[in-house]
Amino acid sequence: MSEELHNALKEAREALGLTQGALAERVGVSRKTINTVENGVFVPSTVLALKLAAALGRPVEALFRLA
Amino acid sequence: MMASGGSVIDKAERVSRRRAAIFYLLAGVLVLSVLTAGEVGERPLRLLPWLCMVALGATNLWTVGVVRSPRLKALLNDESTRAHRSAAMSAGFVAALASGACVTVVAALTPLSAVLAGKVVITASLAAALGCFATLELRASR
Repeated sequence: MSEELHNALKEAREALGLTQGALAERVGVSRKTINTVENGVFVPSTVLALKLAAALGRPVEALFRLA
Repeated sequence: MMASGGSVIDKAERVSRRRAAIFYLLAGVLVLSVLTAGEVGERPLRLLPWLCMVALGATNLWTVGVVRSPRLKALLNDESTRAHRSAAMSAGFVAALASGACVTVVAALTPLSAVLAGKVVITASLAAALGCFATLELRASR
């Protein structure tokens, strides 16, 4: 199974008209954390992934997938 | 994309960038202090400023430092920051091993004071850790 994590965070965020800062505010992390997750530089913990999914109103599987 | 999700987020971003710049500066000063130390650097009193810089750098790398706002403190120590700190510690460990090996080889070939050897290893490891942390933090902010 592939171990490369792809995410649709940017698309989901932009669909809601949120900036990285606004999403960071909702989730309670810094903007750079959102930036690094979106760019695939940083793999978030399960807790953060669930918080992101909740903040964007989507299931976590819709945001993150292995490819 | 620039931050616009609230003042605390913006402030955290500014403080984070400032911290990275200070870490670069501190790493540079530490390296310079070893390069320019010479024999004078071995006098106990002359070690005091260097020891203070080491303590300052290590403390600020390990902890967030003195931040009154709990919200800001949490943002300055969030998940990605902790990952960067962990990577910086690894870089520092590798630098300590490498510099320790170099110092050992040099000491086998030529007389080398324990004070200078200690300064080289501590400076190399801390400067590597500070530089690595600062680089990762600034790169993440882009």
